Amino acid sequence: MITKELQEITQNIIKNGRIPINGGIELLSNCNFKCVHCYNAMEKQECMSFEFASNIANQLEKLGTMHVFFTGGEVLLHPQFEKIYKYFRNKGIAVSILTNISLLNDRYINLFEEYTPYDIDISLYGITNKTYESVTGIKRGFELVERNILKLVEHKINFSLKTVILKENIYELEEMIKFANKFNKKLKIYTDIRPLNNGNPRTKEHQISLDDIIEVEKTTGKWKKTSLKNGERRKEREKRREQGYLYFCELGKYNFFITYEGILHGCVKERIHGYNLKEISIADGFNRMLNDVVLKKTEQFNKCSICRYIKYCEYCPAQFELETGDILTPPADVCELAKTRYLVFE
Amino acid sequence: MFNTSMSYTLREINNFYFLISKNKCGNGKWVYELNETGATIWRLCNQVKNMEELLQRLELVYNKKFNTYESKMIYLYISTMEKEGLLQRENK
Repeated sequence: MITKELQEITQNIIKNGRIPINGGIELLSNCNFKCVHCYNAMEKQECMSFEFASNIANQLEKLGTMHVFFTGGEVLLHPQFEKIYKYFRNKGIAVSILTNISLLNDRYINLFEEYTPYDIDISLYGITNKTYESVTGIKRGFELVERNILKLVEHKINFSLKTVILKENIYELEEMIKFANKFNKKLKIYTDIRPLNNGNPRTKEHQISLDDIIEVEKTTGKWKKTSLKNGERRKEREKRREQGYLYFCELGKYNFFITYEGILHGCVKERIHGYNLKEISIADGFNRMLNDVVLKKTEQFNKCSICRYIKYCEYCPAQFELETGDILTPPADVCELAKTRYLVFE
Repeated sequence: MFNTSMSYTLREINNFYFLISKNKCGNGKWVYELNETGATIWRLCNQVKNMEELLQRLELVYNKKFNTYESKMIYLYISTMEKEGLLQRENK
Protein backbone atom coordinates (compact mmCIF):
# COMPACT_ATOMS: atom_id res chain seq x y z
CA MET A 1 0.00 0.00 0.00
CA ILE A 2 1.33 3.39 -0.95
CA THR A 3 0.64 6.26 1.41
CA LYS A 4 -0.14 9.75 0.25
CA GLU A 5 3.38 11.07 0.70
CA LEU A 6 4.98 8.48 -1.57
CA GLN A 7 2.03 8.66 -3.94
CA GLU A 8 2.52 12.41 -4.35
CA ILE A 9 6.21 11.97 -5.04
CA THR A 10 5.62 9.24 -7.61
CA GLN A 11 2.81 11.18 -9.31
CA ASN A 12 5.23 14.06 -9.85
CA ILE A 13 7.97 11.81 -11.16
CA ILE A 14 5.80 10.12 -13.78
CA LYS A 15 4.71 13.47 -15.18
CA ASN A 16 8.21 13.56 -16.72
CA GLY A 17 7.76 10.23 -18.53
CA ARG A 18 6.77 6.59 -18.28
CA ILE A 19 8.98 4.61 -15.91
CA PRO A 20 8.33 1.47 -13.83
CA ILE A 21 7.84 3.43 -10.64
CA ASN A 22 6.05 0.79 -8.59
CA GLY A 23 5.86 -2.97 -8.83
CA GLY A 24 5.62 -6.36 -7.28
CA ILE A 25 8.17 -9.11 -7.05
CA GLU A 26 7.14 -12.69 -6.40
CA LEU A 27 10.09 -14.13 -4.52
CA LEU A 28 8.88 -17.72 -4.45
CA SER A 29 5.89 -19.92 -5.16
CA ASN A 30 5.94 -21.95 -1.97
CA CYS A 31 3.81 -21.17 1.07
CA ASN A 32 3.41 -22.75 4.50
CA PHE A 33 -0.34 -21.99 4.32
CA LYS A 34 -2.57 -23.82 1.88
CA CYS A 35 -5.38 -21.31 1.52
CA VAL A 36 -8.54 -22.49 -0.17
CA HIS A 37 -8.91 -19.29 -2.19
CA CYS A 38 -5.29 -18.69 -3.22
CA TYR A 39 -4.67 -18.09 -6.94
CA ASN A 40 -1.20 -19.56 -6.71
CA ALA A 41 -1.38 -23.03 -8.26
CA MET A 42 2.06 -23.87 -6.77
CA GLU A 43 2.78 -26.23 -9.65
CA LYS A 44 6.49 -25.79 -8.98
CA GLN A 45 8.19 -25.04 -5.70
CA GLU A 46 10.88 -22.61 -6.65
CA CYS A 47 12.58 -19.52 -5.26
CA MET A 48 14.00 -16.53 -7.06
CA SER A 49 17.76 -16.65 -6.45
CA PHE A 50 19.61 -13.82 -4.73
CA GLU A 51 21.73 -13.33 -7.85
CA PHE A 52 18.64 -12.87 -10.01
CA ALA A 53 16.86 -10.66 -7.45
CA SER A 54 19.90 -8.42 -6.99
CA ASN A 55 20.21 -8.08 -10.76
CA ILE A 56 16.55 -6.98 -10.83
CA ALA A 57 17.24 -4.45 -8.05
CA ASN A 58 20.21 -3.02 -10.00
CA GLN A 59 18.05 -2.57 -13.08
CA LEU A 60 15.09 -1.12 -11.17
CA GLU A 61 17.34 1.37 -9.38
CA LYS A 62 18.55 2.68 -12.75
CA LEU A 63 15.03 2.74 -14.18
CA GLY A 64 13.71 4.82 -11.27
CA THR A 65 11.58 2.39 -9.27
CA MET A 66 10.62 3.92 -5.93
CA HIS A 67 8.63 1.10 -4.34
CA VAL A 68 8.20 -2.63 -4.69
CA PHE A 69 6.17 -5.17 -2.79
CA PHE A 70 7.54 -8.61 -2.12
CA THR A 71 5.03 -11.40 -2.38
CA GLY A 72 4.94 -15.15 -2.83
CA GLY A 73 4.11 -17.76 -1.72
CA GLU A 74 5.11 -16.74 1.75
CA VAL A 75 8.07 -14.37 1.50
CA LEU A 76 9.44 -15.10 4.97
CA LEU A 77 9.93 -18.69 3.83
CA HIS A 78 12.51 -17.60 1.28
CA PRO A 79 15.96 -18.77 2.50
CA GLN A 80 17.61 -15.55 1.24
CA PHE A 81 14.83 -13.13 2.13
CA GLU A 82 17.04 -11.02 4.43
CA LYS A 83 19.80 -10.66 1.85
CA ILE A 84 17.39 -9.75 -0.95
CA TYR A 85 15.43 -7.33 1.23
CA LYS A 86 18.58 -5.50 2.39
CA TYR A 87 19.88 -5.34 -1.16
CA PHE A 88 16.75 -3.55 -2.38
CA ARG A 89 16.77 -1.17 0.59
CA ASN A 90 20.41 -0.29 0.03
CA LYS A 91 19.49 0.69 -3.51
CA GLY A 92 17.02 3.23 -2.10
CA ILE A 93 13.95 1.23 -3.10
CA ALA A 94 11.13 1.17 -0.53
CA VAL A 95 9.85 -2.36 0.14
CA SER A 96 6.45 -3.54 1.34
CA ILE A 97 6.12 -7.13 2.48
CA LEU A 98 2.98 -9.16 1.81
CA THR A 99 2.92 -11.95 4.36
CA ASN A 100 0.78 -14.19 6.54
CA ILE A 101 3.23 -13.26 9.38
CA SER A 102 3.22 -16.81 10.80
CA LEU A 103 6.97 -17.19 10.27
CA LEU A 104 8.06 -14.00 11.99
CA ASN A 105 11.00 -14.69 14.31
CA ASP A 106 13.53 -12.66 16.31
CA ARG A 107 15.88 -12.50 13.35
CA TYR A 108 13.21 -10.88 11.20
CA ILE A 109 12.22 -8.57 14.06
CA ASN A 110 15.83 -7.37 14.26
CA LEU A 111 15.94 -6.97 10.50
CA PHE A 112 12.76 -4.88 10.40
CA GLU A 113 13.97 -2.75 13.30
CA GLU A 114 17.21 -2.03 11.50
CA TYR A 115 15.69 -1.69 8.03
CA THR A 116 12.10 -0.50 8.37
CA PRO A 117 9.82 -1.88 5.68
CA TYR A 118 7.49 0.55 3.94
CA ASP A 119 4.66 -1.68 5.09
CA ILE A 120 4.13 -5.20 6.36
CA ASP A 121 0.83 -6.07 4.75
CA ILE A 122 -0.60 -8.95 6.76
CA SER A 123 -3.37 -11.22 5.51
CA LEU A 124 -5.83 -12.07 8.24
CA TYR A 125 -8.06 -15.07 7.61
CA GLY A 126 -10.26 -15.13 10.69
CA ILE A 127 -10.31 -14.51 14.37
CA THR A 128 -10.30 -18.09 15.68
CA ASN A 129 -8.06 -21.11 15.24
CA LYS A 130 -10.99 -23.05 13.82
CA THR A 131 -11.59 -20.56 11.00
CA TYR A 132 -7.88 -20.27 10.33
CA GLU A 133 -7.67 -24.01 9.92
CA SER A 134 -10.62 -24.12 7.54
CA VAL A 135 -9.08 -21.40 5.34
CA THR A 136 -5.35 -22.08 5.58
CA GLY A 137 -5.14 -25.70 6.70
CA ILE A 138 -2.95 -24.60 9.61
CA LYS A 139 -3.73 -25.72 13.15
CA ARG A 140 -3.67 -22.97 15.82
CA GLY A 141 -3.05 -20.48 13.02
CA PHE A 142 -4.79 -17.52 14.62
CA GLU A 143 -2.84 -17.93 17.86
CA LEU A 144 0.39 -17.87 15.89
CA VAL A 145 -0.59 -14.83 13.83
CA GLU A 146 -1.91 -12.88 16.82
CA ARG A 147 1.27 -13.57 18.79
CA ASN A 148 3.41 -12.30 15.92
CA ILE A 149 1.26 -9.20 15.39
CA LEU A 150 1.74 -8.43 19.09
CA LYS A 151 5.50 -8.78 18.59
CA LEU A 152 5.35 -6.17 15.80
CA VAL A 153 3.38 -3.86 18.08
CA GLU A 154 5.87 -4.39 20.91
CA HIS A 155 8.77 -3.49 18.62
CA LYS A 156 6.88 -0.57 17.03
CA ILE A 157 7.16 -2.03 13.54
CA ASN A 158 4.59 -0.66 11.13
CA PHE A 159 2.06 -3.05 9.60
CA SER A 160 -1.37 -3.12 7.99
CA LEU A 161 -4.10 -5.74 7.96
CA LYS A 162 -6.21 -7.03 5.12
CA THR A 163 -8.62 -9.89 4.64
CA VAL A 164 -10.39 -11.74 1.89
CA ILE A 165 -13.94 -12.53 2.86
CA LEU A 166 -14.86 -16.14 2.10
CA LYS A 167 -17.69 -18.50 2.92
CA GLU A 168 -15.41 -19.86 5.64
CA ASN A 169 -14.79 -16.59 7.49
CA ILE A 170 -17.63 -14.17 6.69
CA TYR A 171 -19.26 -14.71 10.06
CA GLU A 172 -16.08 -13.37 11.72
CA LEU A 173 -15.88 -10.16 9.68
CA GLU A 174 -17.12 -7.91 12.46
CA GLU A 175 -14.64 -9.44 14.91
CA MET A 176 -11.82 -9.06 12.42
CA ILE A 177 -12.63 -5.36 12.04
CA LYS A 178 -12.59 -5.01 15.84
CA PHE A 179 -9.31 -6.92 16.00
CA ALA A 180 -7.72 -4.47 13.52
CA ASN A 181 -9.20 -1.47 15.33
CA LYS A 182 -7.53 -2.69 18.53
CA PHE A 183 -4.21 -1.83 16.86
CA ASN A 184 -5.57 1.41 15.36
CA LYS A 185 -5.66 -0.21 11.93
CA LYS A 186 -8.39 -0.08 9.35
CA LEU A 187 -8.93 -3.57 8.00
CA LYS A 188 -8.73 -3.64 4.21
CA ILE A 189 -11.48 -5.93 3.01
CA TYR A 190 -11.57 -7.78 -0.30
CA THR A 191 -14.26 -10.06 -1.67
CA ASP A 192 -12.85 -10.81 -5.10
CA ILE A 193 -11.67 -14.38 -5.61
CA ARG A 194 -9.54 -15.17 -8.60
CA PRO A 195 -9.27 -18.56 -10.26
CA LEU A 196 -5.96 -20.38 -9.96
CA ASN A 197 -3.34 -18.85 -12.24
CA ASN A 198 -3.57 -21.99 -14.39
CA GLY A 199 -7.26 -21.24 -14.99
CA ASN A 200 -8.69 -23.83 -12.59
CA PRO A 201 -11.84 -22.26 -11.09
CA ARG A 202 -11.96 -24.29 -7.86
CA THR A 203 -11.09 -21.25 -5.71
CA LYS A 204 -14.35 -19.59 -6.75
CA GLU A 205 -16.28 -22.21 -4.76
CA HIS A 206 -15.26 -20.28 -1.67
CA GLN A 207 -16.54 -16.93 -2.86
CA ILE A 208 -19.38 -15.47 -0.80
CA SER A 209 -22.79 -14.91 -2.38
CA LEU A 210 -23.59 -11.82 -4.39
CA ASP A 211 -25.88 -10.56 -1.62
CA ASP A 212 -23.12 -11.02 0.94
CA ILE A 213 -20.64 -9.15 -1.26
CA ILE A 214 -23.06 -6.22 -1.41
CA GLU A 215 -23.53 -6.31 2.38
CA VAL A 216 -19.76 -6.32 2.91
CA GLU A 217 -19.33 -3.44 0.49
CA LYS A 218 -21.98 -1.46 2.37
CA THR A 219 -19.83 -1.91 5.47
CA THR A 220 -16.63 -0.82 3.74
CA GLY A 221 -18.20 2.09 1.85
CA LYS A 222 -16.32 0.97 -1.26
CA TRP A 223 -18.80 2.48 -3.72
CA LYS A 224 -19.62 5.67 -1.87
CA LYS A 225 -20.15 8.54 -4.29
CA THR A 226 -17.14 10.41 -2.89
CA SER A 227 -14.76 7.53 -3.50
CA LEU A 228 -16.15 7.05 -7.00
CA LYS A 229 -15.89 10.61 -8.14
CA ASN A 230 -12.56 11.51 -6.61
CA GLY A 231 -9.18 10.50 -7.71
CA GLU A 232 -7.03 10.95 -10.75
CA ARG A 233 -6.90 7.19 -11.19
CA ARG A 234 -10.64 6.93 -11.76
CA LYS A 235 -10.61 9.84 -14.20
CA GLU A 236 -7.76 8.21 -16.10
CA ARG A 237 -9.71 4.93 -16.20
CA GLU A 238 -12.74 6.71 -17.66
CA LYS A 239 -10.57 8.42 -20.27
CA ARG A 240 -8.95 5.18 -21.35
CA ARG A 241 -12.33 3.47 -21.63
CA GLU A 242 -13.66 6.24 -23.85
CA GLN A 243 -10.54 6.09 -26.02
CA GLY A 244 -11.09 2.39 -26.73
CA TYR A 245 -8.13 0.90 -24.87
CA LEU A 246 -8.44 -2.73 -23.86
CA TYR A 247 -7.17 -2.13 -20.33
CA PHE A 248 -8.84 0.78 -18.56
CA CYS A 249 -6.49 0.58 -15.58
CA GLU A 250 -2.88 1.71 -15.32
CA LEU A 251 -1.65 -1.81 -15.95
CA GLY A 252 1.89 -1.71 -17.28
CA LYS A 253 1.87 2.05 -17.51
CA TYR A 254 3.92 2.70 -14.41
CA ASN A 255 3.50 -0.64 -12.67
CA PHE A 256 4.94 -4.08 -13.18
CA PHE A 257 5.07 -7.53 -11.69
CA ILE A 258 7.92 -10.03 -11.83
CA THR A 259 7.28 -13.71 -11.11
CA TYR A 260 9.69 -15.99 -9.24
CA GLU A 261 10.49 -17.51 -12.63
CA GLY A 262 11.68 -14.12 -13.87
CA ILE A 263 8.76 -13.25 -16.12
CA LEU A 264 7.83 -9.58 -16.31
CA HIS A 265 4.12 -8.76 -16.47
CA GLY A 266 2.05 -5.58 -16.26
CA CYS A 267 0.49 -6.64 -12.97
CA VAL A 268 -0.12 -9.67 -10.80
CA LYS A 269 -3.30 -10.57 -12.69
CA GLU A 270 -2.17 -10.04 -16.27
CA ARG A 271 -0.35 -13.20 -17.33
CA ILE A 272 -1.14 -13.03 -21.05
CA HIS A 273 1.90 -10.95 -21.97
CA GLY A 274 5.12 -12.00 -20.30
CA TYR A 275 8.71 -11.02 -20.95
CA ASN A 276 11.44 -13.40 -19.88
CA LEU A 277 14.00 -11.41 -17.91
CA LYS A 278 16.54 -14.18 -18.37
CA GLU A 279 16.57 -13.17 -22.04
CA ILE A 280 15.84 -9.45 -22.07
CA SER A 281 16.29 -6.49 -19.71
CA ILE A 282 13.50 -4.98 -17.63
CA ALA A 283 13.81 -1.81 -19.72
CA ASP A 284 13.24 -3.80 -22.94
CA GLY A 285 10.32 -5.72 -21.46
CA PHE A 286 8.78 -2.57 -20.09
CA ASN A 287 9.12 -0.87 -23.48
CA ARG A 288 7.49 -3.80 -25.28
CA MET A 289 4.68 -3.72 -22.73
CA LEU A 290 3.80 -0.23 -23.92
CA ASN A 291 2.55 -1.47 -27.30
CA ASP A 292 1.44 -4.94 -26.22
CA VAL A 293 -0.60 -3.86 -23.21
CA VAL A 294 -0.77 -0.16 -22.38
CA LEU A 295 -1.59 1.11 -25.88
CA LYS A 296 -3.49 -1.99 -26.96
CA LYS A 297 -6.92 -1.20 -28.30
CA THR A 298 -9.65 -3.71 -28.82
CA GLU A 299 -9.90 -5.11 -32.33
CA GLN A 300 -13.51 -6.19 -31.87
CA PHE A 301 -16.36 -4.28 -30.32
CA ASN A 302 -15.96 -4.23 -26.55
CA LYS A 303 -19.44 -4.32 -25.07
CA CYS A 304 -18.01 -3.54 -21.62
CA SER A 305 -16.86 -0.12 -22.83
CA ILE A 306 -20.45 1.05 -23.22
CA CYS A 307 -21.94 -0.90 -20.32
CA ARG A 308 -23.99 1.33 -18.02
CA TYR A 309 -22.75 -0.60 -15.00
CA ILE A 310 -19.04 -0.29 -15.83
CA LYS A 311 -18.44 2.17 -12.98
CA TYR A 312 -19.28 -0.64 -10.57
CA CYS A 313 -17.44 -3.38 -12.38
CA GLU A 314 -14.09 -5.00 -11.52
CA TYR A 315 -13.39 -4.96 -15.27
CA CYS A 316 -10.23 -6.94 -15.98
CA PRO A 317 -9.69 -8.51 -19.43
CA ALA A 318 -6.81 -10.58 -18.03
CA GLN A 319 -9.11 -12.18 -15.52
CA PHE A 320 -11.87 -12.58 -18.11
CA GLU A 321 -9.43 -14.46 -20.32
CA LEU A 322 -8.49 -16.76 -17.46
CA GLU A 323 -12.11 -17.49 -16.59
CA THR A 324 -13.90 -17.56 -19.95
CA GLY A 325 -11.04 -17.96 -22.42
CA ASP A 326 -11.81 -14.60 -24.03
CA ILE A 327 -10.50 -11.20 -22.98
CA LEU A 328 -13.75 -9.50 -23.96
CA THR A 329 -16.14 -11.96 -22.36
CA PRO A 330 -16.68 -11.37 -18.67
CA PRO A 331 -17.98 -14.24 -16.54
CA ALA A 332 -21.71 -13.92 -15.83
CA ASP A 333 -21.17 -13.32 -12.09
CA VAL A 334 -18.99 -10.25 -12.78
CA CYS A 335 -21.79 -8.64 -14.84
CA GLU A 336 -24.42 -9.61 -12.31
CA LEU A 337 -22.42 -8.09 -9.47
CA ALA A 338 -21.84 -4.82 -11.34
CA LYS A 339 -25.55 -4.54 -12.12
CA THR A 340 -26.54 -5.22 -8.51
CA ARG A 341 -24.05 -2.67 -7.23
CA TYR A 342 -25.48 -0.12 -9.64
CA LEU A 343 -29.00 -0.76 -8.36
CA VAL A 344 -27.92 -0.61 -4.73
CA PHE A 345 -25.30 2.14 -4.69
CA GLU A 346 -26.11 4.51 -7.57
CA MET B 1 35.48 18.19 6.11
CA PHE B 2 32.08 16.68 5.32
CA ASN B 3 30.83 13.16 5.35
CA THR B 4 27.53 12.40 3.71
CA SER B 5 25.38 10.02 5.72
CA MET B 6 25.93 6.41 4.72
CA SER B 7 22.28 5.78 5.55
CA TYR B 8 21.13 7.75 2.53
CA THR B 9 21.52 7.22 -1.16
CA LEU B 10 21.12 9.86 -3.84
CA ARG B 11 18.88 8.85 -6.74
CA GLU B 12 18.11 10.69 -9.93
CA ILE B 13 14.70 9.66 -11.24
CA ASN B 14 13.17 11.28 -14.33
CA ASN B 15 15.15 14.50 -13.67
CA PHE B 16 14.12 14.60 -10.02
CA TYR B 17 16.71 14.13 -7.28
CA PHE B 18 16.01 12.31 -4.06
CA LEU B 19 17.95 11.41 -0.97
CA ILE B 20 16.40 8.16 0.14
CA SER B 21 17.02 6.46 3.45
CA LYS B 22 18.33 2.92 3.21
CA ASN B 23 17.00 1.89 6.60
CA LYS B 24 14.11 4.20 7.47
CA CYS B 25 10.88 3.88 5.53
CA GLY B 26 7.14 4.37 5.81
CA ASN B 27 6.53 6.55 8.85
CA GLY B 28 8.54 9.72 9.32
CA LYS B 29 10.97 11.47 7.03
CA TRP B 30 12.79 9.07 4.74
CA VAL B 31 12.76 10.81 1.34
CA TYR B 32 14.19 14.26 0.70
CA GLU B 33 13.67 15.89 -2.65
CA LEU B 34 16.64 17.97 -3.78
CA ASN B 35 17.07 20.35 -6.65
CA GLU B 36 19.93 19.90 -9.08
CA THR B 37 22.27 22.18 -7.10
CA GLY B 38 21.44 20.28 -3.92
CA ALA B 39 22.33 17.02 -5.64
CA THR B 40 25.61 18.52 -6.89
CA ILE B 41 26.46 19.73 -3.39
CA TRP B 42 25.74 16.25 -1.98
CA ARG B 43 28.03 14.65 -4.58
CA LEU B 44 30.83 17.13 -3.90
CA CYS B 45 30.67 16.95 -0.12
CA ASN B 46 32.77 13.80 0.13
CA GLN B 47 35.38 15.21 -2.23
CA VAL B 48 36.23 18.55 -0.61
CA LYS B 49 38.23 19.52 2.47
CA ASN B 50 36.36 22.62 3.53
CA MET B 51 33.58 25.04 2.76
CA GLU B 52 35.83 27.26 0.65
CA GLU B 53 36.80 24.34 -1.55
CA LEU B 54 33.16 23.36 -1.88
CA LEU B 55 32.30 26.86 -3.09
CA GLN B 56 35.21 26.82 -5.52
CA ARG B 57 34.15 23.47 -6.95
CA LEU B 58 30.57 24.66 -7.29
CA GLU B 59 31.76 27.80 -9.06
CA LEU B 60 33.60 25.58 -11.51
CA VAL B 61 30.53 23.39 -12.07
CA TYR B 62 28.26 26.37 -12.69
CA ASN B 63 30.95 28.48 -14.35
CA LYS B 64 30.19 31.57 -12.31
CA LYS B 65 31.42 33.49 -9.26
CA PHE B 66 28.96 33.33 -6.36
CA ASN B 67 27.94 36.60 -4.75
CA THR B 68 27.58 36.99 -0.97
CA TYR B 69 23.91 36.07 -0.99
CA GLU B 70 24.47 32.89 -3.00
CA SER B 71 27.38 31.83 -0.79
CA LYS B 72 25.22 32.42 2.29
CA MET B 73 22.48 30.25 0.81
CA ILE B 74 24.95 27.43 0.27
CA TYR B 75 26.16 27.73 3.89
CA LEU B 76 22.55 27.62 5.01
CA TYR B 77 21.85 24.59 2.84
CA ILE B 78 24.82 22.73 4.32
CA SER B 79 23.75 23.58 7.84
CA THR B 80 20.17 22.38 7.15
CA MET B 81 21.53 19.10 5.82
CA GLU B 82 23.63 18.78 8.98
CA LYS B 83 20.62 19.41 11.19
CA GLU B 84 18.64 16.74 9.32
CA GLY B 85 21.48 14.28 9.93
CA LEU B 86 22.27 13.99 6.24
CA LEU B 87 25.77 15.45 6.59
CA GLN B 88 28.39 15.36 9.29
CA ARG B 89 31.45 17.53 9.68
CA GLU B 90 34.55 15.40 10.15
CA ASN B 91 36.15 17.75 12.70
CA LYS B 92 33.14 17.68 15.03
